[in-house]
Amino acid sequence: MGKVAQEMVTKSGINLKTLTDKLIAAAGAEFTTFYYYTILRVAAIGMEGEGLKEIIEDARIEDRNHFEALFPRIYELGGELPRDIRKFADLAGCPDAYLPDSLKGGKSPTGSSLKDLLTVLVEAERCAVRCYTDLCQFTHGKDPRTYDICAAILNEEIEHEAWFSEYLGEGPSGHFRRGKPGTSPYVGRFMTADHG
Amino acid sequence: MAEPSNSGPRKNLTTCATPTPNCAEIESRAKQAWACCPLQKDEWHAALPAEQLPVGKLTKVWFAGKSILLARLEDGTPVAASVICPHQQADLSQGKIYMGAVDCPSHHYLYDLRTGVNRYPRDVFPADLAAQLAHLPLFRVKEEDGWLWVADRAVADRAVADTAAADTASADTASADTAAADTAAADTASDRERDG
Ligand code: FES
Ligand SMILES: [Fe+2]
Ligand SMILES: [Fe+2]
Repeated sequence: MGKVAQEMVTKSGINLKTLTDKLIAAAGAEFTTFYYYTILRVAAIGMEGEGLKEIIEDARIEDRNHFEALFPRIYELGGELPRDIRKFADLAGCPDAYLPDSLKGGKSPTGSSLKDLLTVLVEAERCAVRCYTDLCQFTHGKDPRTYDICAAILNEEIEHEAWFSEYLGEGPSGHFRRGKPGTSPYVGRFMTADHG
Repeated sequence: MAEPSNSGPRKNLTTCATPTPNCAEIESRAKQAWACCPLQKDEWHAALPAEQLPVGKLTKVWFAGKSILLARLEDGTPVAASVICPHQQADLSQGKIYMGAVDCPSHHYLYDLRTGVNRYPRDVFPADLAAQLAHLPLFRVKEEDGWLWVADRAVADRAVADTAAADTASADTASADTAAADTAAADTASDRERDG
């Protein structure tokens, strides 16, 4: 817990409880997304699915990295993760990224199970982009450390969105996947655990 | 929750001749709010000077004894909706406008502000869960004589009812399809096992 660190944030006009609630929600979304992307990744099979698998893996591992980068800041600011993981999952700031019906043999809303899968992925990334944009705007000019962490995560979420959106043919943007899965070029510097 | 933006002293308005029975209660809640004796034209109530709602802005105003959400979409269209998120009751006036929808600050669900329909995660959830997502109640709104006027709800009941019916139908089809497809998926899996 950082006493002066907390005081400086409070003095900048930020409500610490609101900020830690937002960070816990963001961390919860990373944790649940890591879990759901595991299920999505193992379902990416077949001629087309195999090509997608590595990108899902990059996004999946980087979401775990985002959780790793976020939680120390929550404790520095005097917050804490819920004792019960069920509560943590319920607090997650983005909805669950469920396996689409069509990959379990059900109906496909888009007419293609691969497109259904990509839609789940791209919308989950878009939710993350909205979540971290909000956190960056909330902390900008007030809490430089939280802002830096959130801006680093936002950079990666924007790339994740671009990967999946390009797969859907929504337009070129010149993004490339990582050299190794989950390299986290922006967030790595906030992590203590090995990454990439 | 933030104060509604029309809860300040009354401006440019004459007191209406027919105060509503719950005026006293509203008066105490909104302090000097002119909403207790709103300027009325038939069922339309003056909610906010139009200039106070620029493009892309969301705000909370008092209307008929409760606070509602007023927003101006990217193309300039004003819209009015319940300010309470149907998911877990977050204050939507703290959210943002995102491509014609309101982005809830809590879990980033998206509600289309023209139809009230939940857009996300409805577009990615399995059909049975999508069918359970509640829609956002809308109010009628118009811009006239420099004011935004709000009338009671029901503007989007038709669209919401149609969507709910479609959700139910597709959930029914999906569960029927799933049973058939589970068998197909099991067949494919055992084929794979054999081939592998
Ligand atoms: S309370 Fe609005 S999305 Fe959960
Ligand atoms: Fe993430
Ligand atoms: Fe991501």
